Amino acid sequence: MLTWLVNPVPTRRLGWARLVIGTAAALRALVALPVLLRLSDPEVVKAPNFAWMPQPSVVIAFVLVALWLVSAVLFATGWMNQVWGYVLFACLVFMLALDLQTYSNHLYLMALLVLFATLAGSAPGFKFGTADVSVPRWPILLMCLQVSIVYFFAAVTKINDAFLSGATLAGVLNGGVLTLPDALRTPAFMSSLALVAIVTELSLALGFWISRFRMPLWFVGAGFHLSMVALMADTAEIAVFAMLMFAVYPLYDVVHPRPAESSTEY
Amino acid sequence: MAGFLLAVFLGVQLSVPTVLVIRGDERSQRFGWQMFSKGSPATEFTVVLGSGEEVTVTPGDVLARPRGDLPLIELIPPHLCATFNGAVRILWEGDSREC
Repeated sequence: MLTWLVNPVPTRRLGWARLVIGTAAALRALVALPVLLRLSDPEVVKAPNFAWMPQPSVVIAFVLVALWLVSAVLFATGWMNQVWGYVLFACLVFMLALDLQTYSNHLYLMALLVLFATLAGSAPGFKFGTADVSVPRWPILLMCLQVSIVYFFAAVTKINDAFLSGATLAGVLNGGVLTLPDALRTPAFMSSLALVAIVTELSLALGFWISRFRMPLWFVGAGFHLSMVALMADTAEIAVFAMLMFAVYPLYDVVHPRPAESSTEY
Repeated sequence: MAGFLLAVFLGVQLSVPTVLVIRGDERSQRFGWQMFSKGSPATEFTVVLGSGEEVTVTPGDVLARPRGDLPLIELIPPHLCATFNGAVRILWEGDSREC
């Protein structure tokens, strides 16, 4: 088992993941700026996680977002990955810790994926003109496990009366780029949609570990996340979440290659 | 090192969300991957001023970012008492707090 964990695997797909995660982190920095600026307003509620954390201010907002943005872009390029990866991780942890209002599940997921990709040494993967090298399997395994755990608990926690009735979903599917027609906002349809969401998330959580289901699930996951991006408010943040999940999809093939791929370069 | 980190990771990432699921809190909780599984409460607060005038405040008016996992009752009434000039009482959903 331990040998399997440290066995070297090619990094080309990890490099792609790094590129997508870094880009998502850069976009998320821009989403964070208005929240941080509003938090610095004295008329706005402060809910610090720790008493010793600095009081939110305009200076902190701009410094944090600037550092976050620069480190995200450099992380994406793979340049000095072992420095910028940890700087980006520190920015994300600071944001998560600053205030109850600056937490988000997407940000928490992003911080963990950046940490694991940095631990994996994702820098060598996918850089034009450079040779691919191998890295240990275990940090890539952690990234895949993390995505499966997110899908699994997202599904399990939806198994409650309010969600299954469709009421929660009817509230969530509002304010997006596309509007769900009123004709479809019936209890029966919303309840069916709620069930589909749970089954889809459970399928994505478990199915990626079965190699023959993996390719069809790419399409299922793409449809699922794109519909969320289209129908839900906070479009940019939902799109960033989708990018994080998509970034990891190809890594399941690295951790557990499909039979046709086990002897090919990826 | 790899085995230890994997064990710690699985321990935290499986136990924390599981405990939160078992606890079954009314509002969603952080670190539990409870994504869009529970609605955000649409609580409105009424600030009663010394003059008897009443002002309605929504969470969106005073929060940097309303979220379903925020303890609104713990956060908003004390804030309104501290920042609303002349506030004597805050009312919400059949409950109240004297300033």
